This record gives sequence, structure tokens and C-alpha cells, in this order.
Amino acid sequence: MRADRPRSAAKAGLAPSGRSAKPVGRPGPGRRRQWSGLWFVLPALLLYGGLILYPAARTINLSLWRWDGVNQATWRGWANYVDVALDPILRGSILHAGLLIVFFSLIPVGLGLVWASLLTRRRIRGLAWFRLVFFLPQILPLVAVGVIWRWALAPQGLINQVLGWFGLDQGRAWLGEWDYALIAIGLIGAWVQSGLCMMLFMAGCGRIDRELYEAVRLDGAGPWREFWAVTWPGLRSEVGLALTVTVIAALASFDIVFVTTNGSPGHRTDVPGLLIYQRLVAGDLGHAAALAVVLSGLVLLAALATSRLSRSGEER
Amino acid sequence: MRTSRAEGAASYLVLIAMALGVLTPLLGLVLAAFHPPGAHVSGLSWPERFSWGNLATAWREGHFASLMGASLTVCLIVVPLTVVLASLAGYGLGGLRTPGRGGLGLVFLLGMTLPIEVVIVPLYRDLRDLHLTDSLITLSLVEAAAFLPFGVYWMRRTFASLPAELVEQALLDGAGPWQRLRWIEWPLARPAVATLAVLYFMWAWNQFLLVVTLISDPNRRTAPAGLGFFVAPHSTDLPLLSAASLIVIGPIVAVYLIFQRQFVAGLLAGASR
Amino acid sequence: MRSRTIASWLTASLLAVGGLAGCSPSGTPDPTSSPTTSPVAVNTTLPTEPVQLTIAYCDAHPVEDLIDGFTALHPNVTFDKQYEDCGNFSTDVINRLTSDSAPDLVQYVDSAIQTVAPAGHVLDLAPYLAAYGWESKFPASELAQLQLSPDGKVHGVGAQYGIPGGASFTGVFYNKTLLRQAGVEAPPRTLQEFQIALKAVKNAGLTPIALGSLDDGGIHLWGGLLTSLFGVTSAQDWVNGRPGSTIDLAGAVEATAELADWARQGYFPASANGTKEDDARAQFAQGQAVFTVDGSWAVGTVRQGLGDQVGFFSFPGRSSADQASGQGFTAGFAISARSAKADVAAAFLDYLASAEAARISVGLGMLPVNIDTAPAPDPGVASDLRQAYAQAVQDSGIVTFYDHATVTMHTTLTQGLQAVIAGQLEPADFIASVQADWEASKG
Repeated sequence: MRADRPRSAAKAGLAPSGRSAKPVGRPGPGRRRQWSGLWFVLPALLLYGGLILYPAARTINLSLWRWDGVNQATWRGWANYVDVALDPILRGSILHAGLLIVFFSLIPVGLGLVWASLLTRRRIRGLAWFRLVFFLPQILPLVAVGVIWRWALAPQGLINQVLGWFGLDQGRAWLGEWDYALIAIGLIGAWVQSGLCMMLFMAGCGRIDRELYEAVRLDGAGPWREFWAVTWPGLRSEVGLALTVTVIAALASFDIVFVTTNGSPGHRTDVPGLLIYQRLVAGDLGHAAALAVVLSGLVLLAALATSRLSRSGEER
Repeated sequence: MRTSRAEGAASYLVLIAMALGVLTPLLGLVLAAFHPPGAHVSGLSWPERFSWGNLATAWREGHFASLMGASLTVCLIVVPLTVVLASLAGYGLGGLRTPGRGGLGLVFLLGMTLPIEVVIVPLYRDLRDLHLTDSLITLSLVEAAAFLPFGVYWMRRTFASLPAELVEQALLDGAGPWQRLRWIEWPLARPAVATLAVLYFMWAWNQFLLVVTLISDPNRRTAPAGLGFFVAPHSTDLPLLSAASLIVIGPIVAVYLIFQRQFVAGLLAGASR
Repeated sequence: MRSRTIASWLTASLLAVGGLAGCSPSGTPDPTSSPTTSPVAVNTTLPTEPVQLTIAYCDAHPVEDLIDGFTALHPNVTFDKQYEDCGNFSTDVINRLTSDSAPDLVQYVDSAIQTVAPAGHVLDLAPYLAAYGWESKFPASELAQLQLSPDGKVHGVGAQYGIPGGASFTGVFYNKTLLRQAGVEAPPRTLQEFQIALKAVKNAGLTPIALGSLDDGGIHLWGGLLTSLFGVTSAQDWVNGRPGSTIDLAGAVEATAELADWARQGYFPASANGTKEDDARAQFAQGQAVFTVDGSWAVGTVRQGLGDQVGFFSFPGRSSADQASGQGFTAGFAISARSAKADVAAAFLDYLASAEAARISVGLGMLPVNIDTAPAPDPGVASDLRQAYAQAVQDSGIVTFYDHATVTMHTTLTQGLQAVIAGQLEPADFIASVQADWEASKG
């Protein structure tokens, strides 16, 4: 659902990537402006403007009211935003989303970099097959991913079975544990995103000039120097892209939490998307809207920050 | 390349471990779906005998016939609509010297960072006041609008990167913007369009939050939304729940496997365009 | 349907172009589509031509059984049955009743009706009440649960928005064999005896209470303690939203502290916060725990698993002389204010008072609307339940489910109780947060 739009969206987008660094809008024919071009843009702009931009602006308006969606609304001004900042539940959801970034973004990107640097040193046979497998979690509906992991993390589930081989199975319901529920959700996110990061980085490595590696090796560089001198700079834009996609997925997560914990235990796994939905349906539209505006601001900031990373990669 | 044999083995080991990590939970789901109805499945376990009945039961009890129909309808509206509109807009912004194309590009770029959460609050209420909810057409239009920014971005880059010589040639032949798009640029952009179409199919199939907020009749929602609400009443019957999940992920996995070559290659190529 | 949508889209686009789409979130429904609150004249004779009623519900049993019973009597009336999972049903009812395609009948959900009734989306049944003489057919206490003040904030007064279709009642199910195994001969009659029994069971190495606090299980267990320690009258006033009520009193804090203590003592499985009430019920039915606090809807499952080994008693009070009590709510039905077939829908409501409907409910092991006219249940746990319920009705000890107090109370209670059970929230702080929710809604 939601997460997978930007999740896959920025996949190829957002970060104007890479080596080619081609200016957008080719030096087209003639120098004259083509006003007729507007007709081509208009249909998309109308649909997008009417059903996304206009409602988004409406959300900003709604965030200043108290409204149950049925009866008369009353003006609240900034009070809803104050609540988002001070109310432990609303604020907590944002902090949780922050923690999820570690699992949805940092761990997959870290893992991906390790694997990718391993792979640059050797030609891998069956790469296409591995790519096929690693990308699989990305295409599944997150609802189904939630169902799969809800069971895997249950007292009689797969995770406890594996822990049992090491004598560590205590029959815990991981998604109900005060200290582990959010981490468990984070691990589900890591499962979904790691393959994507690996695939992006593998493809990125494939485009790095082999001669660069030969050169640093002739200089007597070890794997560590090799990584920092060649692999990392070569992958900067892919890393930026992966971070953009996964950070957005972390901040705007909804489906997985909705299916697995719905915020339990004791609000420990509330995320902004879930609270927006809950407040929306409980008739607390003002807080839902205020939280949505804050969430959008955070996503925008994250996207700007990560695209900056990939742009600085481009400058090299 | 001078790498040690041990290092090569390590690479494979890592890859295989990772692949197992991806596949084992999925295998667990498949196996669970074939246990007898209502059975208590613990961990990864091979059913003593395969019971195929769960699929039929889940299909019936989850109303998946109508849910799948709705999913298909949404995909059939969303994919062509978004591909055509995104191509047109992408051409206008990346293939023509349209005035203000830089600013318009930024407006669409903004849409790629807007989470769906920010629009559902008013959509949920305003569309109801306009008597537009509970309709697959409305749902499809909203999904299309939400997916457009990425497509516009994608097609803009595609058209912008087409070789200029071909366009010059077309100009000499006296082709207008429309003829150029129809007969030269669109055919050249076909691989990128195909990737975009597969991607849009997946997003449209997998969309969840918009479906559950815009369609209130549970039997007229799409398959993933149906699954989301199938979970609670059937949480004690794991084989049935797993069978329902298989039904929902089946089509998307099929599309992925059929188109994977173009899709994965297309995406990775796009990522570096 | 489809062409209407397209027409609506065209109208909407025109409005948008004309700048007529308003900017302030005014919730007043547009006057042309504004539903009338009460029909002018009512007709209690059923038509003979085919009629179809749309009904939205979440309790497949008894609703579907009652529908079947009604259609058997009136074959020309058919039903478009729209089932929705109970967890999301409240939202669904708000959406459905405010939408154009409102069903004729909806299963009565307190929180939803509280939201939409003030805006006139639910039919006031007063004319039918008189025409059918429902006041003499249904117990007054059950009708009162389905009454609501004009602002939707106070129960038990104002308009009659629903008619009861079946009662529910919570209490303690116990496993007779396991209880004896732990050396306890008779089910406890006071809270103190209950505490002693729990300790004995724990010491015997058994799991005392099967608890699924991931969803409703925590509310039902805590509710039992609360009704006993806080008192039926103050509890009922609070749930009903009577102005000036508060739950922030010693009795409620004491009840919560007791729950926290039980968690500390290990009376619940460690996985309680990750377990749904359905799953906890299954554990109990498999003999994995000695007690579980659950409702009348559980009778079928536990009887199937444990046969005559299972019994039921009301949640015990401080002393055995206390009034018998439990939480409950009558699963009623409301009619949409937009329904064009309100007369036919009302005939279905009238059917709920019939002996035939009572027979269907009892056959499912459920509590009939009117215990005076209903047939006797099977012996065993269903009979225990009926007796306990009858006693509580006689003692006026039925308190509406606590999560009905406000629209958001279900989340506040489930999440808060999970924190209490995990030992992460002080009982007094929990009660304060519950009262804050109440005041945000009623204040």
C-alpha cells in the first residue's frame, strides 16, 4: 500500500542518480518555447492536483479544527499541533517511526554494502536467480508480509523454533513483548528492504569500472581501502536512493503494523500512519490531519537530506 | 581477478544464507496453508497429508471471487490511465520546451514525497459529501493520482534521455509534437513504459490504506484489503489464513515471475539513467 | 451505480471549477440529502411483494440465524447480508450510516451510534415503539441501553435508537477438573476466595487465568474487578456518561492495582499481551488454564472443548452478599434514517421479541432478550450462565461494557491495560488517562 509507493517509487526516482549526470530536458529542437507542451501536462496535472494537492491543502486546513466528520467543527488553531508535540501517544508514534528508520534503512543499507563489497571481488554465477529471490519481499503486499510474520513471531512460530535449536525458546509472543514488539516490527521491515538494497548495490557495483579495482590493488590496497577508495564512492548515488526509499517506508509505515500489532502492547508500536487511520475513523479528524501534516514534513526533510547525499555523490 | 577460493566460498555462503532468510518464512506460509483446517502449526512443519481444501474454503469465506474482481478492475483502470497520462506529461516536461517545465517538474516531484496519509483525511470526508465513495472508479482515480508523480518523473527522464538526432530528423520531416510522440518517441520509450506498467500494476494491486478508507463495503474492496480484514476473525485458523494469503499474493508473484527479466533490468537501468 | 458515480464526478468537477467546494470543514449535511429523523406514519403490516433489506452486522451468530428465522416466516423478504469483522465494525457503521448507500438495518454499536445519531442519521424508533407495543415486549433495562440523549453523550435517556436482539454477559469460566486438581473444592464466591484459589492453582503448577489482552480480554478481566471494587451504580453512571461522573476514585485504582498484582504473581501466561481473546479462549478450551474471564459468546467454544468439565460464575464481589454483577450489552439493531423500507425493517425488529427468536438464541447457547419467556437452556455451562445472568438482572447488576463509554475508549483501555499488565504503567496513572479520555468526549 502506502509505503510501497515511495518505497518502490524512489527506487528508480527521486535521486537524480549517477554517472551520466545528464541535464534534464535535452537541448531540444529549436530555441522557441513550445506552449503546446502544456496540453500534454494538463491531464496529469488536473488529476494529481485535484486528488492529491487539493486534499493535501485541505488537510492543512482541517488540522486547525476539532471535527468528528459528522457534526459541526470548532476552531482550534495550533492546538492540534501542540498536542502532537506534547501528547505522549502522538509524540511517541513519531519517535517509534524514528527507531524504525534504523531497521528499515540503516540495517538493510549496511548489510547491502557488506554483501556488495564482498561481491565486487568475484564473479558470481546465478546472480540473476539471487536477484529474483532478493527482490521478492518487495513485490508482496505488505498486508501479506504482515500475516507471514505475525505467525513467524508467534509463541509457536518459526522464530521461536529457530531459537529453540539453540535452547533459547521461551514461548514468547514477540509482538506482544513490551521491549521487543517494535524491534520485531523493525525486523520485518529489514526483511522487506534488505533485498532491495542488495540488488541496487549489486547493480551499482556492476557499473563500477573494473580497472579502478585493478589500480588500487596494484597500489597494494586491502579490502578495507578498496571499499573506501572505489566501492563507496561508486555507490554513493545508489546509497542515497536506497536511503530515500527506505526512510520514507519507515516513516510512513502502516500496513505491517496494522496487521501485526495495531499499536499494542500499550502503544509501544504506534506509528504515525496507524494513529492517523485510528483517529480518522474514531472521528478525531483534527489530530489525524495535524499528525499527517507533521509526517509529511518529516518525509520531505528526509527526502531532501538523502537526495543531498546522492547529489554529493554525483559531484565527485 | 585475484581473489582467494575461501573468499569466493564466503560470498556464496552469504548469498545463500540471505536467500534462505527470504524464502523460509514464505515456505512456512505455503506449508501452513496445506495443513488440515484449524490445525495448530508450530514453526516450519511438513503437513502429514496435504489438504487442498483450505484454498477453496478461504476463497469462499473471504469472498475472494468478488475481491479479486475488484482488484482486477482497479488494475485495469489504473495501469492504462497512469501510463498514458504519465507518458503525456513526461513528454511535455522532458521532450518539449514547455514553458515553466522546471517548476511543474518540482510540483510533481513534491508528490513523490507526500505520504498517502496526508490526503486520506479530507478525501475520506469530502468524497463522501460528494457521494463519490464506495466506488471502484473513485478508488482508481485516487490511486492513479497518487501514482502519477513517480510516472511523470520516470517518463520525463526517459524522454529527456532519448537521442536528440532522431528528434532532429523528425523535425526535418515536419512532424508536430503529437506526431513525434506517437510515431517516434513513444516507440523508442517502450522498455521504460513496460517497466512502469508492471510497477503500476503492483502498486495498484498492493494498495491498502486508500482501499479501506474509500470503500466501506467490505465485500467490494480489493484482495489485499480483504486479507487485512480476514485476519482478525480467522486468526485462530492458521492454515485458512495462510491459504487466503496465498490467494492474494499468487497473482502478483505470477506477474513478477513472468515479467521479471524486463522488470528488474528495467528498474535497475532506470535507477542509473 | 457506475453511471451515477460518473455523473457525481462531473458534478464535483463543475463545482470545483466554479469554486463552490467549501473550505471550512462544516459537518452540517447538505439540506437536500439531510435525512428525516422520524417517519411521518408507520405501517405494521408487511407487504406481500418481494422486498430486500440490507443489513450490516459483525456477530455472524446470532444475526444470520435470526435472519434465517425471519425469512422462513416471510419468504418475500430477503436480506443483503453485509458481514464485517467486529474489530472494525464501529468505524464501518459510522461510514455506512453517513453514506448514501446506508444499509436499512445495522447491528447497534454504541460508539458509532453516539457519533452519527446527533446528526440525524439514525431513525428514532418512537412511533414503532408505540405501534408495536415494544415497551411491554422488551425488558426496560435492555431498552434503556439503546437510548441516547440528543447530543449523543448520555445513555438511558432520550430517543430510542435501537431494539435488543440478544443479550451478552461476562463472567468467569472455570475448568472443574483442574480446579479440583489444585485442591480447590468449590468455585469462589468472594474476591478473597478467588485470590486464594488463584494462588492455590499457581502453586499446583497450573496456569491460573487464560488471558488474551491483545484485544478485548484485558477489558473483560479488568471490568470484572472494576465492577466489584468500584461498585455497579458508579460504574454504570460513568459508562452512561452521566454529567459529573468520574472513574478517578480509589475503587477503580484498587481494581487496576489488583490486576497489576495478578500479572506480577504470574497468574497469566507471559504471552498474554500478544494473545487475542479468541486464542486465549482456545487455550482455556484445551485445558491449558483453570480460569478465563470471557462472555456468553464463548459458551459454544468452551463447551465443545471441555464438555461438562466447564462451569461459569459471576465475577465475585468483595462479599458474597454483594449484588451479582457482570458486564454486558444487548446486541441490538438500529434503522438508518435514510431507509426507504423502515416499515419492513421494523417488522424484523418486532420479530426479535418473539418466542421463535428466543428459541434460536438459546439454541446457540446465548442469552435471550427476555429470560422470562425463553425456553430453558441445556444443563451444564449454559445453565450456569443463565442462572448467573438472571441473578444479575434481578440485582440490577448489568453494567454496559466499559469500552462503550466513548468512541476512543476501546483503544485507551486495551493499550493502557497492556501497559499495566506489562508493569509499565502505574494503576493511578492508568485511571487518570481513562478519565481524561472520558472528559475529552463528554466535557
